[in-house]
Amino acid sequence: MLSIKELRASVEDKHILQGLSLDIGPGEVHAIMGPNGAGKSTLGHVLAGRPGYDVLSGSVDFDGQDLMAMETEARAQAGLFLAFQYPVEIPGVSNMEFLKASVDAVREANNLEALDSVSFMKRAREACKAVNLNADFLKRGVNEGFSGGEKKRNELMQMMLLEPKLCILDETDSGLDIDALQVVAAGVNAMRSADRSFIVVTHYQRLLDYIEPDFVHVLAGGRIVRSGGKELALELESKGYAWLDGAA
Amino acid sequence: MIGPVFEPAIAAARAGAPRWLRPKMDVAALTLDATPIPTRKSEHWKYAPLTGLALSANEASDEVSGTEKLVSLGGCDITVTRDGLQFGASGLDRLPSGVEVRSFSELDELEASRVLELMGSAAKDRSGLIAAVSDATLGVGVWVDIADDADVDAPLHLVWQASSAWLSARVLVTAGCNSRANIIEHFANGAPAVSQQHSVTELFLASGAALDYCRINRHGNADTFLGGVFAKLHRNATLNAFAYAAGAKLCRNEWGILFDEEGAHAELNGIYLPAGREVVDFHTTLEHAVAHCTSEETFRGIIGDRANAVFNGRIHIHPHAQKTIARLSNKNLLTSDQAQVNTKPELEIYANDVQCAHGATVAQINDEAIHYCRTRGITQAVASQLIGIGFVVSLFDRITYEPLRTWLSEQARRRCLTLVTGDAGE
Repeated sequence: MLSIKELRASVEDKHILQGLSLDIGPGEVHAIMGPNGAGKSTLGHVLAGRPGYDVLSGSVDFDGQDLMAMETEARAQAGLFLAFQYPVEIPGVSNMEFLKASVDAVREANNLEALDSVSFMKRAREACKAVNLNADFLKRGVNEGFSGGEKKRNELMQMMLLEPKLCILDETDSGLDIDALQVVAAGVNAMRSADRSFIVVTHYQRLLDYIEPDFVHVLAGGRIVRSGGKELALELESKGYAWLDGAA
Repeated sequence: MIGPVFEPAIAAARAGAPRWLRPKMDVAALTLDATPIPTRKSEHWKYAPLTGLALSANEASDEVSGTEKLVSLGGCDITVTRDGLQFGASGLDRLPSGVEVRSFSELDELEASRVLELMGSAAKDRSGLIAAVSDATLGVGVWVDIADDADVDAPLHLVWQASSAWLSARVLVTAGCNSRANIIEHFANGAPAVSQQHSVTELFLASGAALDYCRINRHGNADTFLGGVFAKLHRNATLNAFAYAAGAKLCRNEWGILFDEEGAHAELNGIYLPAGREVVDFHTTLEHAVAHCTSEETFRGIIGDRANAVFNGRIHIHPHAQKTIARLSNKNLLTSDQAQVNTKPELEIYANDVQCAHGATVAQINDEAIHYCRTRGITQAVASQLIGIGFVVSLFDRITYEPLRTWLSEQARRRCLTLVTGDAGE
């Protein structure tokens, strides 16, 4: 599904990713943990194609395609989805209009017929329900005036509608109360399937109680310094990251 | 002097004008003869001078190669050309009861003297030039008279088509006491031939009258439009006005609203979307001459390519206009590095017990928002269109007549795509 080899990337001339390698197979859930400034969010942004993030060397293969050579929208159309840590507000553009444009674009790129308005509305309402957002949110401006938790659930709702192959959740648990966390986790778990993979970036082991990962990686100094099963998250929770200094 | 620029139009208009109107036209023509062509040195024409106008006038021809299909918005459609008024398919039956529409050429002596008395008596434009051009070149005059207590749901839709090189129009609307009506004036892209249109509309709202008025400017990018809307509001009258300008070589509209008696309220909202090398210029003046009146004015614009927009909004609170509430806001979005906007909100207050606010902003499309859209598979062009329309769309809610709101916002949506992709206007 995704194969990252020796990826080096910089932001404003600051080297953040320093030879990161990671392989993700279909249906796998990989948790990425690590101290602040390790490059966790940068990895998500580089994969999603954010301007200003320069790839210096290395390669990323996504389903047989050179991901780094693709435009941002083409990556999304190919099935990559980044749930933002800080979702962006777009005043005046209704959530519904935004979602329709998004789903239409992705379907068109995949030679699928556009959904008619009725079917789309139905799906959008179902997705809202699944993440416990009132359907009125569809009429509101994209993330406009949403609370932190509402923004995160809105991200998840988009993910459900777009049905991506690879979902990258960038600290989707931050700022969520325990109920919202469970809603988000339930949403993610409902989407788990044999051909859909997840990268779950998180600071806390707590989320992994609800979304059980197949692999846990520790990202420090721009590289994966340790990988393991879900028990690694528990170890990190009890020991912190200080012990990694030697490993990095 | 600017007079010679309009000579062909003045001569043609004078020949076809009713006798009673000619002295007024002659006075205006003399005014133009004594008025220099406004340049960048004239404050009111600083950012959109008329220096290129002479050339456009010479280029003007009488060729017509087709007109845009009339959009019906479910009311009474009246197409106006230099030859006069043409009512929509169902004819005069569609004219709502309580509304009379008369061409100046068919007025009797008494009506003519009433019209002469009204002409130019609503608020004045600041430069005086728009009214002088309109009077001197007046080709078609229309008087819309709404009876006292008339309650008209369906709008009167006046579609001006430049079926010739010149179209110069004057509309007078007299809205009777406690009447309620809706008027749409639509200046369409009449023909591929270059056209010049002059249009002044004066709205007289009697006590308790409520009028929705919308002016739509959709011209070709070589057309020139000089126009104005001037309104006089009597006691407790309410004006809900909307302006839409998609651009032209020069599209200048002056708005003047005079609060002449207490208790009146005016809302003036506008959207301008110039592309290519088009120039859209709005000069608005709200004259709060008496106490206890309120006004709300919001203009938003998206400016693309090498287009230029001018917004000059003035609120003038006279010494006795206590308890006035007046708000003015102008926001602009530039979609290219070479797009330009010159905005100047002005507040001039001579009363001490008023609530006033004014402000203007100029911004570019937010890169973060574009990126966010792109991560959802939306191309940059569509993302820009979405964000652009999002910038102006809330203003359409101020249009109360639903078919107009829907149709006009769709026009804006299409226009936004042009603005962000930059594939038109040249």
